[in-house]
Amino acid sequence: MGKRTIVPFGPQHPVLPEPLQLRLVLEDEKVVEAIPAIGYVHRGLEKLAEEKDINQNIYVVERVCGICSFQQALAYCQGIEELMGIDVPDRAKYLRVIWAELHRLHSHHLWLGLLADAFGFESLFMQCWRNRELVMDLMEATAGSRVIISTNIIGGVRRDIDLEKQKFILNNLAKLEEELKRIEGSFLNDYTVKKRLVGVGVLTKQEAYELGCVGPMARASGIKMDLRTLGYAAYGELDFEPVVENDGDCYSRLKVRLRECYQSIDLIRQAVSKMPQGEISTPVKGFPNGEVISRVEQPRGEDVYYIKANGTKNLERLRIRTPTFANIPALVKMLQGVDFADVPMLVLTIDPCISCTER
Amino acid sequence: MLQNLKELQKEDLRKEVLVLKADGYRFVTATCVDLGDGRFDIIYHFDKDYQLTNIRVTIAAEEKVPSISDIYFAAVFVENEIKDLFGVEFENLLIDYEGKFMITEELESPMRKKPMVKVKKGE
Repeated sequence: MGKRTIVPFGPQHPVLPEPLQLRLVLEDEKVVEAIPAIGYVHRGLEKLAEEKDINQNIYVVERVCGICSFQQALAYCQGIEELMGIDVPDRAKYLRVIWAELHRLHSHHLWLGLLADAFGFESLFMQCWRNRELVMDLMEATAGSRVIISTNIIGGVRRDIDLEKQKFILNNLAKLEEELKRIEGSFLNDYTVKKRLVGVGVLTKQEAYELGCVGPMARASGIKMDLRTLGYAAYGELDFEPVVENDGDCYSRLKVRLRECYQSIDLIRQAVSKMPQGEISTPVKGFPNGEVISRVEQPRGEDVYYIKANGTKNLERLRIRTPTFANIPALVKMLQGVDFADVPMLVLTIDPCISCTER
Repeated sequence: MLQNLKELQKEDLRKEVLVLKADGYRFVTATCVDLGDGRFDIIYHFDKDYQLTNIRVTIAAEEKVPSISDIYFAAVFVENEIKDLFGVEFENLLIDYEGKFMITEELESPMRKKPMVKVKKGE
């Protein structure tokens, strides 16, 4: 047995973009145990949601996480709509799909860039983030802001996407697809990149399921689970299959996210071509009563909202379970027995979002 | 309005969870709700093939809940979070952060409902 040391990894660490601390117990160069400690950016948003009224809460939940703000608002609005029995107009459902997939695209591009940065491929990192700008431009053109777009309201959406903007979306997506194909080779075929990713941090299908993994992490281990197949918003009318890989290592998680970028582009194209004419929101009267669970598929995985209302303008309880929280047990498990040098890569491949985790 | 909701006594919780695990259910999360009268609802959510099953256990503030973290490892962090935020104690936690998982020591169960104190102007 070698000498045991404890390394506090993070919260301010050059390779870790998130304020997560991991206490790593090392035996020589191998990690024996990892203990996560969070709480560095806890904001008490769940408590705040009890003080604000049901409409203001949309803005509260959007600030759970900037990168997936649209999906957070979507989960919340769908929950309230279910409680109040509101029928959302068809056009609004398609608009929701378009924005949700734009968010997935920009989140995945951000992650691809960070991964390239973590294995020291600076120019690839720059390329990914430049491509992400194409998506940000679409967000700005359709909603007026680049990250937190605030287009969801209870009963529908706030803005419409007219024909001219639809054309702009399709043009930019064509460009993005071309760019993606160009950088894909560097991610998938480069010898040094493969050396860092293939066979690192393997999570078997059974482990992933038992530890409650969600999102690309679960799909990379061969679990065919994607909440979009439930058919919320307009997903039920679009044609797609969950992206699944079977190796369960860092390379598989990269492949899943890369393929999901193409899937998102395809979904937006379908949504634009099938979108019906009509209203974009229904007027809402009264306040919700009862309890409900609303789930959507975020870029990082399953997002669970538990809402308890009591017929007044305030909620009794709003509980948010974000995907990173669900993936932390698996991270702890994966870190056992890996090389110390692989830790940053492993932490990155779960796509950690600590601001989500702590709310 | 919650689908598949089972209301259980805390003594029966572990038995039911073991049955769910054997059935191949995935642990999603647990939610703690402060009922405002010194009682807490703890709702466990499980999922199989996109179908949610919920188990509700109601306890008094001073009661201890049996931990299910040895059945589902994923429950460790959720239970620690509830312990931090609501001050609900769990028995036999697999990893016990002793109330320092998310918050610092000086904050005492910040998510609990506290009696409102209204101060009039001029007082």
